[in-house]
Amino acid sequence: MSEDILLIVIKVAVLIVILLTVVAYTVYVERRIMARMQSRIGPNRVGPFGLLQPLADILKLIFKEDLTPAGADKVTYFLAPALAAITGLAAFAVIPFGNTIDLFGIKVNLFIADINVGLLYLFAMSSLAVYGIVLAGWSSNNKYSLLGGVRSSAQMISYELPLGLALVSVVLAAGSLSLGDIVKAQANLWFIVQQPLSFVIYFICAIAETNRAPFDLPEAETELIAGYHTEYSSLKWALFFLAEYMAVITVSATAVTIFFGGWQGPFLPGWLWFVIKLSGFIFFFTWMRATLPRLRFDQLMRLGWKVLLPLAALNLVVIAGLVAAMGG
Amino acid sequence: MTASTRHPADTIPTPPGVTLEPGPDDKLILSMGPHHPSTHGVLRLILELDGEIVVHATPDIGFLHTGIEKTAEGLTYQQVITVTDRMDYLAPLSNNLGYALAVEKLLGVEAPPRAQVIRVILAELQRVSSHLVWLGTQGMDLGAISVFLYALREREKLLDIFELCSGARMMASYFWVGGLLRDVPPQFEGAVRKILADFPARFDEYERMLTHNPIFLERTQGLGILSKEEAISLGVGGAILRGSGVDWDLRRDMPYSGYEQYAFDVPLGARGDVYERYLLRVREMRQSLRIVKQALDRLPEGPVRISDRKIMPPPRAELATSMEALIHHFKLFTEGFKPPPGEAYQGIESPKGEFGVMVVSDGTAKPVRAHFRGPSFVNLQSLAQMVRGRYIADVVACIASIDIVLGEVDR
Amino acid sequence: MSVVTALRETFGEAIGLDLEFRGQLIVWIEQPAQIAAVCSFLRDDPRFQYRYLSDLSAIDRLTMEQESLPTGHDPAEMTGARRFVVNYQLLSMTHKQRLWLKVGLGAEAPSLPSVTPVWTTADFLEREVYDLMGIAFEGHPDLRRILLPDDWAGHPLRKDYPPAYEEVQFSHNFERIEKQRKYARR
Repeated sequence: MSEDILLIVIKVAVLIVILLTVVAYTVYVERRIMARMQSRIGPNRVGPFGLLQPLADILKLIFKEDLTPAGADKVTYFLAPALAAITGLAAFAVIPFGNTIDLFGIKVNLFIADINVGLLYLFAMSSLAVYGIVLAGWSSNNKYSLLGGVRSSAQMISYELPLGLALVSVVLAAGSLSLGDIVKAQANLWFIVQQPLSFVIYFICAIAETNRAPFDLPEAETELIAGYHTEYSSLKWALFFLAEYMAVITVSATAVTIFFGGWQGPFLPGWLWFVIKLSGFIFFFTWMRATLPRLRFDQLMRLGWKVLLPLAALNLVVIAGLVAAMGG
Repeated sequence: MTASTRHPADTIPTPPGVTLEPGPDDKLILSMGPHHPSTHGVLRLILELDGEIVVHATPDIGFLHTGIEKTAEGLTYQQVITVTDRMDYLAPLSNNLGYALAVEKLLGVEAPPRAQVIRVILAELQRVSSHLVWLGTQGMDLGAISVFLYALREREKLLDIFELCSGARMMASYFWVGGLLRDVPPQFEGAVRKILADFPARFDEYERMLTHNPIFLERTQGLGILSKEEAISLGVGGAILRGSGVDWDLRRDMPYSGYEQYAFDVPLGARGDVYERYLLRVREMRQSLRIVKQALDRLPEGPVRISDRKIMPPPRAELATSMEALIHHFKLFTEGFKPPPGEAYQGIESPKGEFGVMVVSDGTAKPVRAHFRGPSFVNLQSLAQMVRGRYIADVVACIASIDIVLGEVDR
Repeated sequence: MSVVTALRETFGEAIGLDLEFRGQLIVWIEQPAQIAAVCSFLRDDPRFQYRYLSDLSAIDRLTMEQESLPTGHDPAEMTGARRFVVNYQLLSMTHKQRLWLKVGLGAEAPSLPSVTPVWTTADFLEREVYDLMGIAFEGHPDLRRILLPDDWAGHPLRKDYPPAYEEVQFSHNFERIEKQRKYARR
């Protein structure tokens, strides 16, 4: 038993290190790709091809002065970035990023916990993340932050619903809430082929969930300076940054797990397939950011409530009907 | 709220009658600017918000006031050219042109034909370059960041041309009273022809990114509408005026600098919204290239400075041999020329609207009064009208569509 | 009928000298109180349709060389009764014509009616003139400083408001600077 716990602790530690590195290099890759798309060069000075740039950025952030605005609600102001980052990291615990592998004679499952309500847990974590943002906006004592926080909470709540409905239709087809089971259910046919509409709805909502372009309203720098993190600096700001990119990776990983067969794929090892699929998503996020203008707040709400939600509900009914008809 | 808990921006004194404390009906008062990423400089707006909806917007300007008109009173007529550069710093050559034409009107002289054609070429390229910055910032303010970088990439090419001619990329001071600083170098024609060949495809590229983009349409259509009557009464100019359906372009209707010799269309809109202004400016850029092409094809040979030695200094080479030339040179650069007493107003179609210059002379070497009517300054007045009842995000889109340059607003 | 004739017919005594200089039609309005009425007439009269106000500015004639004045500037009134001149640049888009109206104002508390009811654009322009030249516009909805801070003292474009530096005196500008010297800051 203690061996199991030790294994889990090691896995958690390793995963966190990997994730933080992945986040840092996601930023690097994003900057390089964006630069290519915008006929720029991007970071290429620190280390070969600028590969040490993320490290330099982190060091810079550590040494920056940590400011707390006068009149800020100090405790909340301090807790908000931690809350955002922790939920972002914790969500990854249930995502299977590879098949079981043999390591030094021990069978290691490449996920932290395959809990039977994995999907629900994922939801819970992404819903909690909004608190980090709202509290940051509230406690900063800045009107821009407040507006950013309000926008963000409205946006996340509105998009949680269609997102959930889109995933429930997958759950119906797979017959399980466990992410491991959902992956296994796609051994023959990915759910993207089976339920393309669910995927489209999920993906649009996921972009909105993560506050990325074209739905990056809460931190729209041309309107609200930097939205909820206007007043944050140094490591606290870095935590928000981490949370945002963690969220991107999490929703991408979820999309891979639920619609693209997870770690499954021919020839290559499972974890490599997972990484390849994930990279595809991250590239897509970057591509959109470089291309699309931003929606307005009311337009975003309209899209969520008047288009996506009814569509998701309809989709669910149809899928449920099909599942029942096929003798599920 | 005690003083210590206020946001730093709130400590800037507000104009009388405007307060940053919540009003009796609990409206949120937001001080947007003077350091805000999308107020295009140091514009400050005091927004009265109901949620995210703007109830009232009060522009607060003057943060970049440098007293250009007072400065001009202490400079000779030729020296004033350099301060005109610093008003609309995105279109310094247009400012040069307006001022040079006004003083030439006062003097009763006209620049030589070659100088006039070069002025037209450069003024039109300047219009393209100014519109490119507008296009980029309009895109960026709506979140389409790539357009900004593309537009500035192209603008660099235009700045290279200005550098080729004048030695300066932005503050060119190239159009002098009575002609040009110097003739264009031999590479000029090739460089401009290259731009004429390259740019239309680039404009297509921007249009592909924005013109039919559903998000862009959603964000800009039906926003910031000015009716024809409002536009005229507000005195707005350029694409804002024409976007509202007023068919007016000084280049065509009250031609100066030989614009009557060129064939070009004046794009006209009807809806008067932000999207219409976008379409018009993109079409204007294409028309400008059309003018440049015609001008380049007919570029005459000849001097670029008038021969009147009382106004324009003699060529450098003459100074070594002619006593008279030396005296003229010395007098012009120590004292300057003296226009006859009188006053002149000249309006030109700058990229942003009517750029007007009024010069008053009492017969001395310095203007008694030089007044500049900046189109941005006048156009800015329309903002309050455009954004009433709209969202904060719309404020940003409207500011961008007015295309203000704070150097010119504050002067 | 020319615009000047029509103006004289309608406003009589209020219309002063008219002249043409370098192709610009300049009309002096003798009674400042009439300016809003004149502008509104010019805007609405179907014969002229000066519907667009291009520019509104002011001149301070305090130090102008008296012997060499632009036509229409009366030397006797330079510093006293008509020290300031307010200029209105009207534009008729229908006839593609400009009209330059000029109003002379006295040195003491100069003021004249606002044309904001005629053209909305006069709002900022009048505030600018008020701010920099110290001319008040009666009936302006929001007459306060626009470019300078609200607690600024003086009106910088006035000739008795000295620049922050003193010009070097040469023989060619000796007299002008001598004349300005008394306004220099001590």
